[in-house]
Amino acid sequence: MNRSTTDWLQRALLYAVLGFLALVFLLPIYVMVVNSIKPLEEIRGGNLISLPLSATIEPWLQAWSKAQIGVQPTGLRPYFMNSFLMVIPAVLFSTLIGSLNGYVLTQFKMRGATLMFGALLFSVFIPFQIVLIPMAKLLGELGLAGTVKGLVLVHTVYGIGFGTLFFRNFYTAFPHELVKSARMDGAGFFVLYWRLLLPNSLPIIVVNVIWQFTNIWNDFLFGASFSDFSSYPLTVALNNLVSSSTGVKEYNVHFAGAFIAALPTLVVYVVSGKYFVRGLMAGSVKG
Amino acid sequence: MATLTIKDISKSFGSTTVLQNINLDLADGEFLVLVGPSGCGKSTLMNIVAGLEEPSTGSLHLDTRDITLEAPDTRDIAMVFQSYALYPNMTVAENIAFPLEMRKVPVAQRKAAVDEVASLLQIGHLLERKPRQLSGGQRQRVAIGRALARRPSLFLFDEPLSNLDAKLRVDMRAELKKLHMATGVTTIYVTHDQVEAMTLGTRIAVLKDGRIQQLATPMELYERPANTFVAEFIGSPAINWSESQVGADGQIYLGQDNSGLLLPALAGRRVRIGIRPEDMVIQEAGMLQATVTLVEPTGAESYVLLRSTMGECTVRMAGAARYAPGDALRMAVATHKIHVFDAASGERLN
Repeated sequence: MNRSTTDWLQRALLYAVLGFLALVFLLPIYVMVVNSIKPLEEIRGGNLISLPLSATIEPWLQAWSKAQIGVQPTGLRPYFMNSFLMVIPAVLFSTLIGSLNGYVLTQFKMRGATLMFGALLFSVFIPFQIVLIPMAKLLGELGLAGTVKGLVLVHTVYGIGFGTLFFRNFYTAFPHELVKSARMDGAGFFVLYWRLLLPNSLPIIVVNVIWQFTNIWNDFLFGASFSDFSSYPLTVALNNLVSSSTGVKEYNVHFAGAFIAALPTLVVYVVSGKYFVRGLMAGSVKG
Repeated sequence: MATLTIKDISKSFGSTTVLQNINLDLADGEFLVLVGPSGCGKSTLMNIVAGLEEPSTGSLHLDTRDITLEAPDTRDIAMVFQSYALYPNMTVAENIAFPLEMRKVPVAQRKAAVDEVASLLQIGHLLERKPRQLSGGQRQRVAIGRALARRPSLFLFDEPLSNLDAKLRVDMRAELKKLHMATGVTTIYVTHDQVEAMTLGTRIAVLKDGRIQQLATPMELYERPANTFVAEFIGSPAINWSESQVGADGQIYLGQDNSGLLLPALAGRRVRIGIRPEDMVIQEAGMLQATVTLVEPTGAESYVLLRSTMGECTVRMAGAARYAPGDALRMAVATHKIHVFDAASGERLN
């Protein structure tokens, strides 16, 4: 065998392996999509992999607006809204607080800054389960138990640790001369943050938003623990839909519902995924 | 326009002393250059004057106003940084107007100031660009423009030319000098480049290990260096050295040869003798024997490296040098230009 044939073979093998792995990863999505547009009888027929004989969007409509989840047959729609009402403020607040923390920890000579950062970082490693009971008590005392606002608070608090980590590492590499120059030009604490730091933080903001959005959107434990019928986030509603024990299991509706629940995070990744990779690199290499 | 008085400024971080009893008086309109090797404390001194760091002891007065503890933005001092420190998210015009905006100057006045500075520095066509769309030289101009627009009493330059390529550096150096002559603002300029220091400064302070080694005009610094460090730091090619012992009669010897310089007060002392490359001449009647080791032509002048009875040395001569390595020759020394330093302390003796 000459050299170019070996190269070609190696390349072919590489692509075969990669192609196979891609297939393995894509198969569940394929199964979900295909079965979400099949009538129930076709699924019951037993073939999960085959394409639908008569495609229908009825399961999607069912899942979105008709399925029985709470007391009323509302579909996932109101819970979808709940999730957005929870995730948007929580991401916003944790990003803002995280970046402010990062700013203070890196741009000011402060006694105990390293220790404080260590403590904030430690919060990243606290398992969710440990805080369930104290958090339930706190939410009760604040009058936020069983509300979307309560979930916003919980997720904001949990998001601060990671947000601080991201922004602190990003701002460590932020040129000190820029900050010095702005101070001499007359920029105060917040002007400096608002006019200089924040506008130059796009990559790490994107990283943090993707990270927080995905985590908060996908969270089940806090949602199940701290919400009630009116404030369930989508993940909890989906669980209720899928695990309801009355009547027939409508697998096609379940598949459609699961896909609806996964869609927002998928969109976030597709739209800003390249920033995620780029931003992570920038933070870690320079930080 | 202002005078600056730096009095007894010291700075230490923990047990490390960075600056020790710095005293400097800047006259109105003066261009003072702080020069020294990296780590000598010159940037720290600059930061203290700017208000970005607090001194451990000492005081600063701008005119009669005590600014030792004043915030950086109310000191009326503007600074140009080595990295230019242009705000990447703002256009050139916004960058220049930023310090005025922070001082709540009305929009119309801001615009007038930006236009004035832009025409002075010929950056009018760049006003709408972002810093990343500018070349190094253009960034430099914008940074200077931003400092100028505030009309400060005192200008600080922290190695502003060190990020430019050699050709541009020479051009900008001349422009900075013209700009200073036009505006007359009192200036402190930090550099580690002795050529910049010599060409720009009305006075130069040479710093080493947090102490001022010598404060003098450029020519004084060159012709009468206060110690071996200053003699070595200023001048290119570097000064030639020779260790020697002063004879009982006060004669200064170069190797075995009598230099002709007589310093009776120093009889018997160990000394270090420094001779600038242009103060040595190759001539038949010279007293020192030497062998050529290398010839370096630079165009207008040539440097001849020699091994002589006083040690390794360099001779600067005008035009081309018609010597080849290995040539044996003799050279003479301009006796009155010899610098004599104490061998132990390095302090000047003559």
